[in-house]
Formats: sequence, structure tokens, C-alpha cells
Amino acid sequence: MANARASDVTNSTLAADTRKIRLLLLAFATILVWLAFDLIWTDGFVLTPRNLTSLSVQMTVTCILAIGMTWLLIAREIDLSAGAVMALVIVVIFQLQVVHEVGTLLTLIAAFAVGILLGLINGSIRIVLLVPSFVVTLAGFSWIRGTAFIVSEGQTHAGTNEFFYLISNSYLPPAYSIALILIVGGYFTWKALRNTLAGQRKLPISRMLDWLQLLVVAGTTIGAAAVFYVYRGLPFPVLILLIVILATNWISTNTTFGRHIYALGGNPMAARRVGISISLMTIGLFALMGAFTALAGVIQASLLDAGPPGIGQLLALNAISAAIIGGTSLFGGYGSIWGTVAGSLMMASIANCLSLAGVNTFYQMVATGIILIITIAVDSLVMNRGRGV
Amino acid sequence: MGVRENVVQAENLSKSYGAVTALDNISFEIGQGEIVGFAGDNGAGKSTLMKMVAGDVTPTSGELLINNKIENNLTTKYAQKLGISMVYQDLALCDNLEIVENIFLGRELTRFELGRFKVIDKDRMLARSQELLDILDLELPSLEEPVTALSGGQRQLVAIARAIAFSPKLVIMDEPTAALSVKAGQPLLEQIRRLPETGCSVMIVSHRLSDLLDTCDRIYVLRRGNITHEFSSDNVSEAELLHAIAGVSEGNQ
Repeated sequence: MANARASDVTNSTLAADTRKIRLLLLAFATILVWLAFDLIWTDGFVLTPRNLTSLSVQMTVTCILAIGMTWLLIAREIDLSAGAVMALVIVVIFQLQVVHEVGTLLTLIAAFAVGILLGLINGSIRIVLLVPSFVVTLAGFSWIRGTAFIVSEGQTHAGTNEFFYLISNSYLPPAYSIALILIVGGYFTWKALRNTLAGQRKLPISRMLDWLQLLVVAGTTIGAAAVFYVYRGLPFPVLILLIVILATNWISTNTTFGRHIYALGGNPMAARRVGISISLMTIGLFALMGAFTALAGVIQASLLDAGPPGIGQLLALNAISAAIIGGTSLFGGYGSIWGTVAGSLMMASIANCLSLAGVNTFYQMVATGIILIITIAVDSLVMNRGRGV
Repeated sequence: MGVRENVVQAENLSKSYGAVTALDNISFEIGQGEIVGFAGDNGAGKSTLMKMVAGDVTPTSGELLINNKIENNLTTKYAQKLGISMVYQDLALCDNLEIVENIFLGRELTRFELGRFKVIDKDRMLARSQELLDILDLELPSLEEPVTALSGGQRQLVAIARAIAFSPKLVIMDEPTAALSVKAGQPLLEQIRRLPETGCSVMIVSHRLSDLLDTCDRIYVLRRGNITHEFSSDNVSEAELLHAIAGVSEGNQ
């Protein structure tokens, strides 16, 4: 028993450490990308508060979708129709705002109603017909996109009302921004510090990872505080994203709903046997995905101030990529909100840096593909060793 | 056996699936604090019987009494409410979740509830899990380890800890030692023998006859959907049991 226990410690510590190493690597790789492009190809433009602020805005839409996607993936589901759903939401927003001149509040309600309804439809087909969500949402990818073109008659409307426009184009004043970032970042820094100090008996490598994690958390806090304070404050879309991140992360770790998502992905049979309703959970997750997609649609519509029905063709795939780069398993059971945020930031950084360096967008797709392959390669190497294969 | 209270009493239970009869008119009882084994060849009806008591399968005819009340339309959820918990052969653990989360999966202790929205009380769950593992004499580095990290025997004990977490009246065990080596199974059997101390009865189905003889007070032998023999494990040998299972006539009725 004593022997068995000693090896168990090593095994599980490895599992936890592997996830930590993965996130830290991702964080440092992102910083490396920034530094390289800043110093070599863009004459110091990447790391300006102005660019980092716009980078943070650029990642919001994909990141919000990737968070919803993370929950679905953990529960062994997927949503390929997210981009189409967002397009339809945006088309509806502009139909209401421009063609029918409806007020902002009603537009928002309609946007969320459309998103949630489509999520419910996806989830219900999935559960009632017992069709894999890949197929259900592949169908959605087509029919929902088609509906967006039909509703808009293929036209791109532009010009929302002033208040709707402000949703994505205003800032939390710098003083409030820095206070908010320091409070939130301070809380996570304190947690990381407590974790680091409590790890006296851990292996040296685990302790080193704890310190690195503390460094990244504290560095991110100070960096974000400085960037947003110096430029114009926290952009509204980023503020919304921050709330979504904090809420979903908390729900994932502290509520029965959050833990049951993981249970569903870990062992659906076991989840069913203890009385967790797989149908209800799955439909609920798709409805939530619809709500996240609607939120992303609202932000995108307000940012762009135009509603082309063909928008977001690759969005669902990008969201899946961000989640996977962030450590979410395509086979369910594993993944984290912070990982997905890091994955989204990495993808947005590549797009941002390449376009600043004047590289054709085609190369961005190549770069994203390469990063995915690197991530998967690192995963399979580290994971196989971690499992003692 | 008539003196003590019966947790389970089956009267002429039958179950057929179309033309196939899985269980044919069987009667048995499990007393309070008793460990009762069910032996039989593949297809003898052991798992149907077990699932019936766990509420997974409803009888076609006959009566099933739980705590002396007729409960013919048992569901798994209702069976749980009545204090019946089951340890499945595949253990039904979520490898990706922590030990403590597995023990309380679906029945989490909460600090706040609003309808279906429930906030988990991790501290209370950790404390209660520690108590359970102390009862089972199981030492683990941390209750917050994922189950992936555990050995087969430890996983089995986690599954049992989950089964006894809410002070059940009956724990049903499907092949508890099947996945373990004989040596690794010994401590587990020792734990099972001690379960009646916590006030619950145990129903075990196993292919390992020596395990049944070691742990059970009584053993029923099932053959082709019928209970053909009932033994007190004190006065039956492994050979006799084997004969009964195989249907050779030497077994004493």
C-alpha cells in the first residue's frame, strides 16, 4: 500500500502540473510572439497601450464563443453553427434597428431570444433524435446561415441607433478601470500567493510552477492595469468579457451545474446513474451557448455597426481552436475557462501581430493551423509521459 | 431468520423479456445487518435480480418488499431514497473528477440553493469524506486528487465510500473484486465484512466463490432464473457451492 501511494502522488501531481505547464507555456509563448513582433517587425507598435487595448477588443467575440464552446466540449458536445447563429442574431439586430427602428432594449431582448431559441432547437434535436451534436450543428451551420441571408434579403444594413452603438464603442473611465483590475487581479494574485506558500511539501518542480504561476498572474494584473489606465480605460466589450470569464469560471468550479458538466464528459453513464439529467444538462448547455452567441453578436454588431449576413463563417472553428489550444479536450471531461481565455488571446495576438506586420491574412490561417499542431504535439508528448505510458 | 427485520423481501418475483424469462418465481430475503451473496452462472439471472432491487428493472409479477412495504414500482431514484445504493461493477466513477466530488456526485452538500442552482460546500464535503474513508480505513494523499490517480483497489473503496455516504440500509455490490487481484481483493472484503457495523445490509453478486464464503452470512444459488439452493456459508464448501451452480445434484437443498 505504501508503495502504491507513493507512485499515486507522483501520478496525480504530474496530471495537475501538466495542466499548469501547458497554461504557463501558452502565456510565455504569447509574450514571446508580442516581443518578437514588437522588436523585429513592427517598430515597437505591438506593445503600445493603444494596440494592446485594441487587441483585447479583437479577442472578445471569439473568446465569448470559445467559453460557451468549452462547456460544450467538456460535456462531449460541439457547436459548429455558432457563426451562423451569430450572423442571424446580427441580421435580426439590424432589421429591428434600421428597418423597423425599434429601441435598443427591445433589440437586445430580441437578440438574446433568437440566440437562446436556436440553442434550444440545436439541443432539442440533439436529445430527441439522439443525433450527435456534430451533425445537428453542421445542419445548423447551413440552415441558420441560409435563414440569415433570407431575413436580410442578402443585404447588409448599417447604422444602429446611438445607444446601441455605444455598447462596444465606449470605455470604463481609467480610474474605475484600474481600480477594478487591481481588485480582481489582486484577488487572484492573493490566491496564487497563498497556494504557493502552502506548497512547502510539494516536489521542487511543482513549487517552481507555483512561483511561475504567481509571476504570470501578478504580471498580468499589473500589465493590464497599466495598459488600460494609460490608454482610455477598459473598453466595454472587454468589461463584458471579463464579467463572462469570472462568472463562468466561478460556475465551473463552485456549482453543481459546473461540476456536472465535467461529470457528463468524464463518464456520462455514471452521471446518469447518480440522477443527473443528461437531456436537461445538454439542452441547457446549448441554450447557454445560444445566449453567449447572442452576446457576441451584440458586441460584434455594435463594433462593426453593420450587419452582413455572411459574417463569421469561420467563427465556430476559431472558437473550437481557441478552446483546444487552451487545453480543452475534444473527447470531453477536461478543460478550463482560463485556458480558453489564454487560447483566445494567443489566436488574437497572432492575427493582430501579423496584420500589424503587413502580412496577408491568408498567413494568419496558416499560423493558427501550425499553432494547433504544436499544441496537440506538446499535449500528446507530455500527456503520454504523465500517464506513465 | 424470521426474528429480525427484513430490509428486502421478495415473494415469487418473475421477470420476462418477451418470450425470455430472466427470473422465474423467486423468493428470498435479506435481513437487517446481514450480508447475503448471490452465486450463479452467466445468464442465471443475477444481474436482473440486482437491478430489480436497485429499481433499474421492474418485476413482471410477484412482490418486492423494501422495509416491509410493497414497492413494486421502484425507480433508481426512489430506491436511493429508500436507502438502497449500488456499487456497479464498472464502479461508475468519473476519472476526471476529484475523489471527494465522486463521493458526492449528484448529491453534493451545498451552502446555497436557488431551485436547480446550487453552490457546493466543498469544506463540508471534504470533512464528511474524511470520516467515510476513516470508517473504511482508507488512506489517501489527498481527497482532492482526481480518481485517475488511484489504483484499482482504491477506486473500489472510493465507490464503496460513495455507496455508504448517505447511511444506506442496503448496499448492492456487483462483482466487487472482479477487477482486482486476489491479494488486492482481501482488504476490500475485510471492509465489506465491517459494513454491517454501520447498520447496513449487503447484497453481493460474485463469481469468486471463496469471496462469497469469506464475507457472506448466507448464499443463494441462482440457476436459469430460479433460486435452487440456499446455504449458510458456515456449513457449505466451495465444492458444494460449485456443484449447486453447475446443477449437479449433490448440493444439499
